[in-house]
Amino acid sequence: MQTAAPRYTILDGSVRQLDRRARIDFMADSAVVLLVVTILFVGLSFLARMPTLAAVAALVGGVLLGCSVLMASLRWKRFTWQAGPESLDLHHGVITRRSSSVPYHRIQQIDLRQRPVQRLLGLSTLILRTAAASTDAELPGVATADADALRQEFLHRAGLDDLDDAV
Amino acid sequence: MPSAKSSCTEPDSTTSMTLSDRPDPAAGDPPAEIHTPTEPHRPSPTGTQPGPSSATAPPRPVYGSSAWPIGPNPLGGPRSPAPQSDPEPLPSQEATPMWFGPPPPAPPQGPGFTVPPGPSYGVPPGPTYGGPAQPAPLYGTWRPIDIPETFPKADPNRPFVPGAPVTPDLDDVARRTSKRSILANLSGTILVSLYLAFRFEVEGNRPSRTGATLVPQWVVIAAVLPVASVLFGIAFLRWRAFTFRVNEHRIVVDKGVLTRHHQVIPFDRVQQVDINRKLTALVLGLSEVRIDTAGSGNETSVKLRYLAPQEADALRSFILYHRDLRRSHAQAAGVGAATAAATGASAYPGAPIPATGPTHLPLPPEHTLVTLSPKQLIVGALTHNSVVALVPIAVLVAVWTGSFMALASNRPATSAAWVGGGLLTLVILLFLVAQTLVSTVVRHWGFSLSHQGDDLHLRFGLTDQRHLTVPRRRIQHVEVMDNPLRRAFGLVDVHLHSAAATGGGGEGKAATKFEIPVLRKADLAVVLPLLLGDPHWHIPTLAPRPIAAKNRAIRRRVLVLLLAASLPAITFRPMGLALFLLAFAGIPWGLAAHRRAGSAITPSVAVLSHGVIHHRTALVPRPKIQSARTTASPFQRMARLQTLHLDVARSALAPHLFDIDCNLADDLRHQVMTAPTKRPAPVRTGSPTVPV
Repeated sequence: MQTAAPRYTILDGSVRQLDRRARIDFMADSAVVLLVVTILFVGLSFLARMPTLAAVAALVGGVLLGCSVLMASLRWKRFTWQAGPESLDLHHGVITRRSSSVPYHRIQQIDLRQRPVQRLLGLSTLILRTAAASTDAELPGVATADADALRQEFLHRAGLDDLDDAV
Repeated sequence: MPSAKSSCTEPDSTTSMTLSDRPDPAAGDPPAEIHTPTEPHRPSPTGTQPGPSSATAPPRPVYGSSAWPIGPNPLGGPRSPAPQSDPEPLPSQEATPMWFGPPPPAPPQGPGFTVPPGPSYGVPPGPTYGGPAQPAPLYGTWRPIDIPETFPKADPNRPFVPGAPVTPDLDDVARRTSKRSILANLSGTILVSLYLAFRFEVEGNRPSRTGATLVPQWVVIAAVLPVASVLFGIAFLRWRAFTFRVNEHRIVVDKGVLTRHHQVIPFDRVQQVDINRKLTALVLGLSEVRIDTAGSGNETSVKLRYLAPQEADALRSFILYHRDLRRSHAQAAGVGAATAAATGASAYPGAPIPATGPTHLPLPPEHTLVTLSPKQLIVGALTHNSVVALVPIAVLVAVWTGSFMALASNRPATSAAWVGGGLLTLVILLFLVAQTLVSTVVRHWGFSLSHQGDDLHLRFGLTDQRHLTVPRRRIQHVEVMDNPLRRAFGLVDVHLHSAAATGGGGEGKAATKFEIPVLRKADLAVVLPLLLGDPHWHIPTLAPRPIAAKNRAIRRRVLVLLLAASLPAITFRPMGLALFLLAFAGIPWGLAAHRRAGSAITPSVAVLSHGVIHHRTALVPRPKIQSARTTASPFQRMARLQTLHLDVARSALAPHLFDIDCNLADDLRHQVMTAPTKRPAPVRTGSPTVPV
């Protein structure tokens, strides 16, 4: 893999974390459903004139919410990635730690995905795909502004961009 | 022929085709008539005898040898009447006929020549025909076509002239599948309707007391006949609408009664050619040819059902021969292809083969690797996993219901009933075992694995005969498995996971996974290097896992046994508490698990092995590893261990090994993958639907 000078400082081979805003995205991702369910449950309990149940539900919901926010925060903290000279390395996972190495020359396809919260935050998910379905190479919090450049750079490293003259 | 034209492909009679120098095999075709193989209507050399009369005969242009020379392009593209833009070589009279088999007879010298013996695949190149061409479209019309009796066989000694044209009349003739395939396709319907009619007559249509049947028989027949004829008509139309044309570059399939499908499969893209003979096909003496190409989706696989067996075999070897030939050219002209792409020359499969590279590709000899005799198959079936699993279960269930429950009940009658029940269960379960035994033997009957060049051939089956051709380099990983019974006999089974494209569904799944149902362990040393594509490879000794892994293996198993024993132990206190002693079995179990597990990374293959009862070893060619992962649960982290996963294509569960030392796993994660291989510049091709 010819790596003359990294075209993007974000890909200089150092260990990087996701964008800061991804923390909010992770929190929203894990907490929104819980929040809605808690509010519904508490509201319905009040409507049914069961204040004790409402209080218990609010307490349980609050604790769970706190846990999920903490987990999301940890998930962000644990997520590091590194664009090495030959492969992209990811390290993530709170309870079970996962590391994966995806050699650039195995990349077959690069997807960009934005969930609604990510759109609000200006984030994108960059997904590298290889021939294997079990490959785990998702960068879930990349600034949308960088995403396209990153995608181009990964494609370049994969050797997939010099064939556009092909049929 | 005008009567046979359909409205969708009205030919442009004003277009003067430059194909007029082609002989006209269809000059005398009567409209809309099916020619049987026994009375081939294709003109034998006498049929196209040159003369004054043939000067006015409209030559038939042949599709495939030029890109849609006439008629609207069914794919909506512009028609390309100019042969200058032809991606395929134009036929010329001077060129050697590009067919194989016996060379076609010399051009007729005069009107009085006799028919030469031998197969009459088209006419020899004759003198140029004069007169303007009146092209008649082949595609989408009800034009009668000729069905050659058998498909010509590939001749390994036939010289290959690069860039030489495909002589249209020797080649690229629209063929139909065997007529018997109508029957084969209808067989299911026929059987079901016969069964229903029988049931209706015997049970539903019982005569009443007066002696008259409920429904008169003529009513039944009157109701059945139109339905049957409509079904037969549909099957007939489908058969008639299905044609395929083969030349040295690609196969074209046209099908569909109402919606026409036009599929072009360039041989460059062909991954696998299988021959299947299901029971119906077997009874009718037919074979199904299935051509798989790289990629995924339903459009990547073509099924020709059904051809005569010898025709199917010839077609398979023909496709594989020309695929290999084209590949060897592509390799030889790798640089040339790159420059061609740079200069803008089209490099898609129909393009003339560059004039470099070998002109002759000897068909490599086929070496048989494994054959299984009926005896070996029966031994294999008797030691099959299902037998190993089911027999103890059957015995356990029978003993439990027969003795335990019998003892528990107080009355002798109930006890006897329980004993009887137990025996019955035993018989039923053993019957199930016998069934799997028979089905395994029938499925793999006459198994043979051979290799020919870079292709593996698997042949097996008694009722459903299959002949699979797997390119060896498409094998993603190989799994060697055994069970206690097989270990005792020194036997293993080998599973090959391939990445050939499949159309989905059960049949597709079967096509990506092949197995050698039973193999002597000693033979692995011969078979595995060939399967893995490294002839110098030998089975390595596995590096054991660290001591921490042994402790963890024991701890985990003891814990599992304790948990499993806890419920019955607490239920049947105080005697049941003895069940907790079972947990000690976790110690030898864990030790055995640790002894079995290990890994080895050789220059070409990564080997991961584990399993106590079923000992399974995954062998992954390192160039096939797409990415590598390590995972570590909190417990694994405490013991500084990690699980290594190797991601390969087309495998839902990646080959993995638990509890490797974390530093080693991290190193392996990076080093197990190979550097990019320097391949010749890839010849980008369009989708298979590009008209060639």
